[in-house]
Amino acid sequence: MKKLIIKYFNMLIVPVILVIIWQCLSNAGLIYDVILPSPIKCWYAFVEIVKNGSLKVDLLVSLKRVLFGCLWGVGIGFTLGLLSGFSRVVERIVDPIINILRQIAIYAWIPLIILWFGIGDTSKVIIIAKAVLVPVYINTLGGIRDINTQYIELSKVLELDKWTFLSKIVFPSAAPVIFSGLRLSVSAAWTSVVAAEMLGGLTGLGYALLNAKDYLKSDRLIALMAVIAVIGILFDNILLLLQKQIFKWKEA
Amino acid sequence: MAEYASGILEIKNVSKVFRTKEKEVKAIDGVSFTVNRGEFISIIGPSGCGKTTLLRLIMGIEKDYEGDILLNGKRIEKPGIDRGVVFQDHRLLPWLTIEQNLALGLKTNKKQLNMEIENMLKKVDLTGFGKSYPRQVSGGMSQRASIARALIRKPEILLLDEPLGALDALTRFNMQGELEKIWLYNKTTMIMVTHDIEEAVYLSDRIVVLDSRPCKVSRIFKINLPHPRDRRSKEFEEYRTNVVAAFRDSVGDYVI
Repeated sequence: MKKLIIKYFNMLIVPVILVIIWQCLSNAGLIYDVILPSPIKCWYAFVEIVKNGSLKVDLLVSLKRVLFGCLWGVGIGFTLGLLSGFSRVVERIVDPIINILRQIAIYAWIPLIILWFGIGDTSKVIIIAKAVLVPVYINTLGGIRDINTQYIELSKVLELDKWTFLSKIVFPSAAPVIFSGLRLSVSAAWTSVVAAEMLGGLTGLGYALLNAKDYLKSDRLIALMAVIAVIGILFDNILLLLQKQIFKWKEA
Repeated sequence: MAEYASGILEIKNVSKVFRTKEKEVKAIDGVSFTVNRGEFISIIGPSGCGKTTLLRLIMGIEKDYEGDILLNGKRIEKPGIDRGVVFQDHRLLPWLTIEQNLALGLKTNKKQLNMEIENMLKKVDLTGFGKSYPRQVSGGMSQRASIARALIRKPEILLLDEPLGALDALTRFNMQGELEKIWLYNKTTMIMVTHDIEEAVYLSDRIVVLDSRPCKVSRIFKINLPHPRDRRSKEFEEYRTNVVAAFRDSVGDYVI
């Protein structure tokens, strides 16, 4: 318990000091309010969007898009990664396409995708799915390819059949790498949903950010950014916890 | 009580050449000896002399050799569960418990399998550790589990590639005793590659000393001592000295 308190103290010390300095500077009138409102003002803005319900609406819209985008992206990326991992032929076919996809930044795709699918949910889900697909594919394939040759030797010596070899050796040995890909991709999904909503759309956290900017509501802008950060950290921590639970065998 | 098999292994004029684009390296040159039913044979020789290559040929992992390696009269061409293998690293899968590692790939029905696993764990002194993960047990225990994994498949012959090489001196000493017990109980034919001469004298019926570059049989010692052996007896010491001398000869100008 004491260790835990020290841990969180260490983690929070820099952000807390920065916020205190920020508040002091604002109180002293050294920062122009429209450029950077004081932390307390940002807090009030946060309370306001919670109370008027707009945060809830935007958050749910964005979360729903992330959920569906992730489902599609993980599903496709994982399947392609597995198939490429098990077959060189599939790898030769799929790999170049993924490589082209990954070289073009997500922001470059957005205009075209909007042109094709409009500014509704579909285009958002496609953008997120693309952002998710790439890290999941790369890590799945990499995890399978990187299998220790000693384990391959072992499976020959034990005369394991193909299915046992895949399910008991290849997949478990690749699983931690695949999971890291999943963590990367969830954070990619979360950043790209905001970008997608800013570049086209009338709902979601990204749109709320633009809206706050248009009305010069910099306190609300910062409150929204803080919400985005906290949710992102929350996601990652949940996945981290899950990772520890699933890969217990890695702990000493 | 479960029946354990023990096969005869004949190595007849075996040679192995490794070819790369630039050159050919003769790793093994006309090695012949026979391992009898239930016999414990150690192979020693200078490092890089091809003893591990020879063992890998017997495992069937290394292929394309000249001559014949016959297990119960059948030429070895590929790996198979008639040969149990214990690697220097225990090579247990870290994501499986000891029990699951033992059971890996076995198609026996569950009830029977659980019983066999329990018996096997008891034999290698790991009762109660079946549900542990490899990381949770010591190096010596992991290596015993790895021996159990090989033996539960009832191999004709057990191949041990420096099985105790990665262990600390004390654990190694104890494990030699464990290995002796397991062999006395099972009477499975065993071949062990080692570089520890005392270990070889302590465990083996015969010791094959190999020459290096290319690998040939230099001498074969028969150890006529009853089990369990007393490391401090005069006879043991004599054997040890003789094998050391032969080993020196085979090393030649190389530094041990």
